[in-house]
Amino acid sequence: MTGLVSAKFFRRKRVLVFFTIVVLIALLITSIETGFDAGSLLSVTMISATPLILGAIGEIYAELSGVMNLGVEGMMSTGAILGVVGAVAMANPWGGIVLSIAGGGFLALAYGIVVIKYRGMQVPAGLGLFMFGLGLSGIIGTSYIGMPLPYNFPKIPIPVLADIPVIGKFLFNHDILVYITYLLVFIFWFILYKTKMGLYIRSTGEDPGAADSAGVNVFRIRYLCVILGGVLAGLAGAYLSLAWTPGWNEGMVAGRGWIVISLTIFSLWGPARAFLGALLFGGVYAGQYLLQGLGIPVRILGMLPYAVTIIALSAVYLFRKRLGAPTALGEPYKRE
Amino acid sequence: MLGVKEKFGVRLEKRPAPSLRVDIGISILSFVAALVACSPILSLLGYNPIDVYSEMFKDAFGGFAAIARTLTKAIPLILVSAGAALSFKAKIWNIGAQGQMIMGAIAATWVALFSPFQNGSGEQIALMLVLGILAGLAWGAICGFINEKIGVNMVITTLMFNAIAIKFLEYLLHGPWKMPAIKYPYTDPLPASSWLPVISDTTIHYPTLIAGIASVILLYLVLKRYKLGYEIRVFGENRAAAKYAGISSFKVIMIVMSISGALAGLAGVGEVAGLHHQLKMGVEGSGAVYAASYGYVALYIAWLGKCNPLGAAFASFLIAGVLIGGESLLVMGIQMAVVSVILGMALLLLMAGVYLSEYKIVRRRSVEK
Repeated sequence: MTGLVSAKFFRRKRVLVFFTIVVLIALLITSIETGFDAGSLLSVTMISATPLILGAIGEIYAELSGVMNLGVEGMMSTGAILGVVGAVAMANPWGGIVLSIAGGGFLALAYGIVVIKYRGMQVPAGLGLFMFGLGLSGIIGTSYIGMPLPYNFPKIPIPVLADIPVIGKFLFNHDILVYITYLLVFIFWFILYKTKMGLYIRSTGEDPGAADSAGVNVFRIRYLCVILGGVLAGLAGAYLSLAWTPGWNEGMVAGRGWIVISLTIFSLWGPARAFLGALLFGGVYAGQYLLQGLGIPVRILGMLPYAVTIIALSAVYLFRKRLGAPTALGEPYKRE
Repeated sequence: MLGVKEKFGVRLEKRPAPSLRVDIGISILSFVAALVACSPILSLLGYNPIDVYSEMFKDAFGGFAAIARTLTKAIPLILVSAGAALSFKAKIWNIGAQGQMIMGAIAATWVALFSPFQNGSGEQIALMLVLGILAGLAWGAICGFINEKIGVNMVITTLMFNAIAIKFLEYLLHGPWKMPAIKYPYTDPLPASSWLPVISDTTIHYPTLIAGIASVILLYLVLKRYKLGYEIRVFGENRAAAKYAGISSFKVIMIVMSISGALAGLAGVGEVAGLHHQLKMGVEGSGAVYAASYGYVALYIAWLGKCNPLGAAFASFLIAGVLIGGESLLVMGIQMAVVSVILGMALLLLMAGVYLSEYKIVRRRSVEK
């Protein structure tokens, strides 16, 4: 790559952080100079990014342990409807969260049995899970379509911090699930890189045979990671149906499950980078509303997230020589 | 000892080579098991599963009219699943048939309604077919190019291209191509001169069906007998070995993506010119649920047919029956989503069942110690 910056620059891991800071500063300056409400834009960005972050962390864990789960869309969809069902049944949004987590985890367990125990091929099995989850959510949701949901998560501004211009609205004026997401990003980053468990997980995805002979229970680790992926995908779905647009509508996940899988690759399998990457994708969703004001047809703008996904992934593949994907990704492990 | 397990007086022994009979048995078993596994869901919804399934069967295969309907539904499935079987044989995860069908349908509609070539002759129909096939081919080939030359995951690429095609269709139907008279997102009906001929008293648009069967046989022969088919199979079995043997991955991916894209494009033309006679949302599937798109259904069909075009063609007919049966469920008040659940479950079980095909059951006493 020739041009303004060398390719070496792009290969450094910090480029995403740098990029995020530049965008933030640019928005800050614009909002001060022109009175443009960058805070609201960033706030929508954060909200759009939250389900993507949650789903991506789960998928990162599953893929790092060597199992690719393409059923995220199905699990998110089921999570979304179960969130509504649980909230209505228990008259409490937390009831919805519990049910959707359980549902996502259960679907992932079923998938795990197919691909870990019976060593089924992961791509078709994942697509099967996608169809199953999507259909299941449609069946359960029949009687909930358009039902107004009185139980949802209100915004809780964090005192003092929420008053910082732009940044306050961006990060500290959200519902509790967003704050929990911040916490989860840190926790799962910590587990992955600072604990023995994280080492086991990563070694399982790199070389299950070696991990096994070192005493790691490859099957247990894989089951745990796949189920965690389902749990977080369920939570992401519940976020959509309980916090973002309270209520259920068929097809409300609208391809976010596939964006999650792209984000997993885009983040090069790192939870912290997934957070920043999700902000980029979330920004695209938020930017749609902005561009709509300029008179571009809504449905042409609707192509943006998908086009950006292709472009962003292409950029990652073009600028990085090695992606660092888990070596044993997609390969079933068989104990000889 | 190769992976031997003993239980209940029988033992599992590794099967040295896959057996066709067992494979077919497992395919059927997985489908039946999926029907059984989905029964509790139907029971929970308050329907008797046996009633539901027998109603589905009756609507799909009971009588001449039902079979004609099922065959009409099977036409796009045969085309799309043949392409899917080809790509899965090469382990190229092309799930972009939905988008490719849409692009084919859009191209055909453009010729019939908005192009300067509307002279109502046979040439116009030929042009619709050619442009539709080319549109599907291009949509598939772009994905192949991005996958091979840049490296972006094929599943992601084809899915994103599906989403982009859907949005484009939505844009056309709500914007420039919308039928002016009504509020719904449809185009005007195609002029009757641009319709594909049908077998009288049915909706079977036979030119597409013949093209489908011809391409299935052709693909089967190519995979079985020709060098290209050999290369595709080796590429699918082991990419490293294929590279070592001098098989160009660019060539294989581009050819496979082009063929399956072209077949999906043709299926799209068939749906518009043969069946719906207008462009509308969901033209590439049979229901509002987007997993009911033929592109996704064909994924399952291809695996059910063991990634063999002939097997996929037979499976297409069976699954077309399920879709027709699913439409009859709407009358009973059950959603099409049931079909998506059944097919998804069946695909999962089929994948788990591959494990069984690796073993054979041997009675313990027949094993000499």
